[in-house]
Amino acid sequence: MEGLLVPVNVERLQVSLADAAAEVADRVLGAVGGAEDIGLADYVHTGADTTTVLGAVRLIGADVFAPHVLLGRPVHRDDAAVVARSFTVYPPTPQPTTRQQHVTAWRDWAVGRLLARTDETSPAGSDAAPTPETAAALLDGAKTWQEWSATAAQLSPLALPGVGGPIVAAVFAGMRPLARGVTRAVLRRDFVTAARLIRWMALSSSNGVRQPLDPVLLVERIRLYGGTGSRLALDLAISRVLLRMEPA
Amino acid sequence: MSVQHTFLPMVAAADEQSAVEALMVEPEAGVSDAPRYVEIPQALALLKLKLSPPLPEDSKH
Repeated sequence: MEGLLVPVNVERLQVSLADAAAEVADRVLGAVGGAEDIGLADYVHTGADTTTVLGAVRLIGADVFAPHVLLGRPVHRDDAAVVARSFTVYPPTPQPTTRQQHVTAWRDWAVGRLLARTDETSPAGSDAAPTPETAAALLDGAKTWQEWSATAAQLSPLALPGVGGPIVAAVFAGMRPLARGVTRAVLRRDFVTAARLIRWMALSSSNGVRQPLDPVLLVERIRLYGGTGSRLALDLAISRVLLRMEPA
Repeated sequence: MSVQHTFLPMVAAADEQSAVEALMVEPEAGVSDAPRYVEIPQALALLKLKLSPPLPEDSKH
């Protein structure tokens, strides 16, 4: 039997996860744009590979709650159950040590924090707050603005109202590296990263933080020049709501 | 039947777990983070090259 075993193609796994994440992002985008709920549970029942779908839910993270925190829509009980189940199937790292694990731990924390608003019990580990020291280490002012903005882009699912915490505070204190990072990403035509950083600008702007750049113009530029992809479209849609822009 | 009862997997395989963790911290999920601009080590030397073909000399009648 040993000869029949085929090693799992990690790249294929990542493509499947990215495709499923795009589908989840489309559903969230539809909910932000007017649909009643996300329909995560429906997606699970479509016959797609359940493990992959749950992995995609973990990838999208706190953004699945965007319709709830941005527009006040209720979270469907079954959708909350899907989010909770995704943490059972893909459990958080119990003791994060590396930078990447700390980034993931903060993203998980945001999901747990928003999941706690629902009737669903947060799964073990998802709502355990990483220490504030790890937030300071991730977004340390001593880092180069390139490193700083790359980390801020990875933490962009936390750029939602109602998340709060030391990561949000650290980003709000870093408008200059944020603006540099956005400028660099736009010039590199890395619109995915740009859209993620613009979310931070939009959230901080909605909280009255003064901006070196105009996030409204940036959102329009990304939409016109590079606005393709489901997750990018979701990032832009979230920014539009935060900035009180008209729907695209 | 609740959603919880319809799920089959209990815990993802190690490869699936690591794939998700990798994508969660990748700036562009599913896409390489390769530099968008091609690095040209000899950029100055290239700039000195005459890329345009030489203009034809005036024909003398």
